[in-house]
Amino acid sequence: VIGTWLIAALCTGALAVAGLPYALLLAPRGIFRLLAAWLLGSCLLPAAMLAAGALDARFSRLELAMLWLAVTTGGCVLLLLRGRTCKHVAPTILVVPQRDLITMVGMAVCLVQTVYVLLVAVRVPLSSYDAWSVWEYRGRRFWMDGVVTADFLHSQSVIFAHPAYPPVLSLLITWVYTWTGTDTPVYMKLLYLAFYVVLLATFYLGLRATHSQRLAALATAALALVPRVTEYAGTGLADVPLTAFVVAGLAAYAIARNASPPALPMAGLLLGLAPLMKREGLFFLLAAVLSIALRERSLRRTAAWLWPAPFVALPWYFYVAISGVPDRDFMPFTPQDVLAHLDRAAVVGRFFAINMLALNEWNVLWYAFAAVLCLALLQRRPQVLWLLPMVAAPLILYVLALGVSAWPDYLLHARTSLDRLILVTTPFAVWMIVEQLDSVSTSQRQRAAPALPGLASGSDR
Amino acid sequence: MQLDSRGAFALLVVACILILGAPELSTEWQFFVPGNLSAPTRVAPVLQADPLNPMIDSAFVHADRVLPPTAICIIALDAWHRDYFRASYLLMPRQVWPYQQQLTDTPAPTAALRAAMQRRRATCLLAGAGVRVPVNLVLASRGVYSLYVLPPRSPAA
Repeated sequence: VIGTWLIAALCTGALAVAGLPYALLLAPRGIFRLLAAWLLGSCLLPAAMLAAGALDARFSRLELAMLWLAVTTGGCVLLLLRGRTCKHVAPTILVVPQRDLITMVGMAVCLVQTVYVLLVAVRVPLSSYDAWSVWEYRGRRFWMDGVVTADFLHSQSVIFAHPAYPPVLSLLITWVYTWTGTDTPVYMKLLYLAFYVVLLATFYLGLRATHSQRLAALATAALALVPRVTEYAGTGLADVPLTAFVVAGLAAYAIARNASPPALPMAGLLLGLAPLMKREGLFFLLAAVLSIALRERSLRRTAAWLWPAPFVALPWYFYVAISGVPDRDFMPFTPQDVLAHLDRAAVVGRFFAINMLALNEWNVLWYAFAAVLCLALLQRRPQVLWLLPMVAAPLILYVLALGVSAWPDYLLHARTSLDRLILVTTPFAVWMIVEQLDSVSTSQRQRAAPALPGLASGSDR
Repeated sequence: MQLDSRGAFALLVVACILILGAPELSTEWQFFVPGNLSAPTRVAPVLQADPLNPMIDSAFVHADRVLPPTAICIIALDAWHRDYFRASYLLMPRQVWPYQQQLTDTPAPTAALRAAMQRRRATCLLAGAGVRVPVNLVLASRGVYSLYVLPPRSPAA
């Protein structure tokens, strides 16, 4: 058993190694590169597996080792061609926060929550509905079949497992099962722990780019203490992995914003990978376009940050549309259908609002968010409101989409999915609260000391 | 240690976080107590959207032991029933088909089961209590869902 755990940990970590050369090439400075390496590796390997499957190769340890080697070597060659080696950039990977009591308290809270997620991951049986019936079902099936077959994707007998959903997360499960040689779900749960850690760490680094270390650590602790986020992180659902990609994308933008957009911006790349974890990622990609456009006040600069996203996100959805992979959860999402079911959307919207007020699910997050939103709108603070689309746009689109649900009972569909959908917006609600707190305290300080020039937000970093 | 207004504000925020987060931490604390998951119900202090039903799972696990890996099964449920998904999951890599696509709350009629088996070229049927199975099938395992299989053909046939 210890040997199997070791293999599971090694093959989970190997994903980060495969993504590291690409992250060193593309990601903003510091430890963010290591986190981006994990995210890139966790998409590059499944993409390579999918491509190998299309060439009739079957998943075996030998084949996966060759794929890993090819992906890693390809990245190293690119690094060498750019004239930068791992040796030159390695010292910038680790950035240790300065010692500070409040920061340490925030980080200790995050550590406790991470241990909790680990325990949930390894001790709770895989029983969350979508976890076993969608993500693990498909991962196990790909492992048994040794390949992703067109037969599986088009089979009506497994339509409940949503063959049309993007296969990345399920292929990661296949990756672990192939290496460990067993389909015991506990071993693939380490993937979810890694996604949770990446979510918290990228959230911290994204805030740290423009705010003080204390505020970033406290906000990250606040996010870790949102009950639904931590509860769902280790249960095998795709929502926290999706959140990790979206948050990392926005964090990459926040970190790199003060420089010119690089030729291949990491923000666009990570936000483009989000829809490959879960379809809702498309909503967040759209929301990110709106948010960054609000921030940049220029479509050209927005495009410069996000241009890789459609090239990464859309090929799978084109394939699904062109080859007619079946799905049965929704009617067509056309304006006519949405308008015809607006009465349903009103009911679903009420469901969302009621759920967001549940303290046992969201703590006081949405109450605080409502207060901050009112203040920001009244004070017209663009430095706060630029993040509003990241919360509002996906929620509006979810409500409209659930209005055109094809389930026999659309209310059951809404009830069983709304908390997972809201979950992905929570980091941005916390982020907005932080922006508001910091902008209020900055303007107060500026009023108190008008003669001190150069006192900007986050100046105590 | 001197605190400026910003430091005091941050301390206030951290106090609020800890006070508001305390109930969450106390809920989670139960989970750290050794052996609390050893109860037969496997209850955990996390939301489980779909609590497993051991009786249903055990019926499908028994069927899994009996069936060859290439078997195709019909289950006497519609395409929206959770137990059909669970059967498909536990009997993997075999194909499991619902006897009909539309939602229904009545027991599957025998004729519909027979027609579904012919349509899918199925060799087995999973049926719950109250379902009248076609007469030519043989009981292979018993449980919340019993497994019926086509009898082996005689060499003369």
